[in-house]
Amino acid sequence: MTAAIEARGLVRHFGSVPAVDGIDLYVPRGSVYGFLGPNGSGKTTTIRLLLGLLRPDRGSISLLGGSPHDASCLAQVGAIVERPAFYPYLSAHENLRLFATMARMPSATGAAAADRALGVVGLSSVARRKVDGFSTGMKQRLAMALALLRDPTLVILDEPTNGLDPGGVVEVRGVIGELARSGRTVFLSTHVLTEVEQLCDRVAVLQRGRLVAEGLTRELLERGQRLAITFDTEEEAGGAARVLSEAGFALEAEDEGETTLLVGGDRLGSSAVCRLLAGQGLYPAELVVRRASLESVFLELTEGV
Amino acid sequence: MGYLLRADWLRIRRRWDVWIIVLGIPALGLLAYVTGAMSAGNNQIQISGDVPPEFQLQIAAQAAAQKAFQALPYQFPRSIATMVEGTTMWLLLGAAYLAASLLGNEFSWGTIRNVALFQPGRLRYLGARLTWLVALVLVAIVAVTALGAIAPAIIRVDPGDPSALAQDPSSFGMQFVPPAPVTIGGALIVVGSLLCVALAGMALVGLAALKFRSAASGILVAGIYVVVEGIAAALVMSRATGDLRYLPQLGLTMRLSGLVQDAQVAAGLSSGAGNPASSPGWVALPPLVGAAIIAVWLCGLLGLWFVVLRRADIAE
Repeated sequence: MTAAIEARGLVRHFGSVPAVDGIDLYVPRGSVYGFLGPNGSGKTTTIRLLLGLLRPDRGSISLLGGSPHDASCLAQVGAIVERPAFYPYLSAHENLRLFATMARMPSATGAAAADRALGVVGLSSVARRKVDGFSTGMKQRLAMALALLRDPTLVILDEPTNGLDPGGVVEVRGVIGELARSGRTVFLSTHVLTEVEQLCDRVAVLQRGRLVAEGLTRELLERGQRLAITFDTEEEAGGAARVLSEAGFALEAEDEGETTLLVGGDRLGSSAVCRLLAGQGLYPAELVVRRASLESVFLELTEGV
Repeated sequence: MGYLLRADWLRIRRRWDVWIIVLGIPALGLLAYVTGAMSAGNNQIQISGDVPPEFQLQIAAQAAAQKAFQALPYQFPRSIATMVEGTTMWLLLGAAYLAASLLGNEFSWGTIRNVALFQPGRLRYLGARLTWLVALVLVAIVAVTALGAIAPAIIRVDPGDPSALAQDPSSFGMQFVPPAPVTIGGALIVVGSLLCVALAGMALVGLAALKFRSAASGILVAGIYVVVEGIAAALVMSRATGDLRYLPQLGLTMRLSGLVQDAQVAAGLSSGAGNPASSPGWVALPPLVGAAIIAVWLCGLLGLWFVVLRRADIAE
């Protein structure tokens, strides 16, 4: 089966500034893919490139096996890109009906699809009100409704919870979770790292137009986890540090006293560490796996670049 | 493209500004016509003191000629041209506003992004929008023409004694242009020139709005172009010799202004005095060549609409 999104060597400059600089993306179908990066890292530009709104200087893009300039391909894609944009003099329902008509839906089908989408995002009660009077949060919900209008296979969401109150954030997260459970692919660009931690099974981190990390969310979090080994005495801790260093474990500086060692890197495994230390007659008083938050991993990845 | 036209209808039917323009222009034309008709032939010639009888006769003849002359524009079919002349500027501004607003606002509001996602065939989308723009301009022009045709039946202007027009106006120092008979065909030539003016204004402002991605910028840039072309044309016309003298006539603004005057001359409404042809350095072109130049401009400007939108990055 083809990927939901596949991009190779994507490059886009604005003047001499590289907004996107050689990005490769592979988003499997049915996954919830988190797309992270600080402001100005190129997330929105990447999304615009994926949707065919911008043309890449170099590179190729495949959406659901087709081109983003192909109508039949885009018909299976729903998207929120940056701030919501609607005709202010039309009602929420009229806005959706208009785009349903543009998507060649028959009138009755379009009206029903608009009703359904507005119901999903909780805007049914204001469906006949002009968008001009909507709050930022209501417009954001309407953007979500527009993204869902065509019952898409792939949903690309750029900061979907921007401007929403806490209740709205929970609702939108619920909608994203529902989309994922129904087998749709969700590409989620957000600043809210807890959102990614909760929802995404894969994640990519972008910094200055380049991908600095990509993989399963679980693996990325494991990259940031540490093993904290505490001994009763400083002598035991010093001896353990020598043994672990010689065995190739990465020891990190810690500030919790000289009786605690922090072991990082890929070769984590509390049982292996225990066996090694016990073989040398060293017995830790406490051994704790400290799980990293996505926030700390994100900061580590983006600040180091 | 029917679904795109339907989608545009959902949008346009709620645009009160569009309907104010489309229906307001004929209303303004009618207002100008009615006020003109009400004041036509109401001139009073004041005489003080004793006047010799032969001079009184001459004054009476002059008053009758004036009355008949001023009533002429309100007689069918010349009434059509009168109505059209009264709305030319409004229609030009209206068509320009419609193009700027219906194209430029898509960028200002950011809705062009949704359009691009729901209709990746940008040229088809623009084709539908162009169709609507032309249709709206046509509705306004047809309404103006129809009002001009039916107005004489409702608003009657007393023509006085038509034989008074046969007098030699120079005998009492009048500058009246000898009235030529205006046919329906002549009136329609004036209507055609108005259509050209409106479409050219729409095409120029529309291109600027697409290129600069805003309605206001579109109007501003097109306005600057018109002024710059006018200045450059005046300079070339006053200095150039040989083939260069034809250059100003190739400009859109100058050519349109020439076309309007040519149409009035062709319809028998004007002698041509005061039109660009009377400017120093102006060399007359055959009317068909003039019309062909406008057609080339229109094709070029509208073609550029499609090129600009096809190549545009949608960064809104």
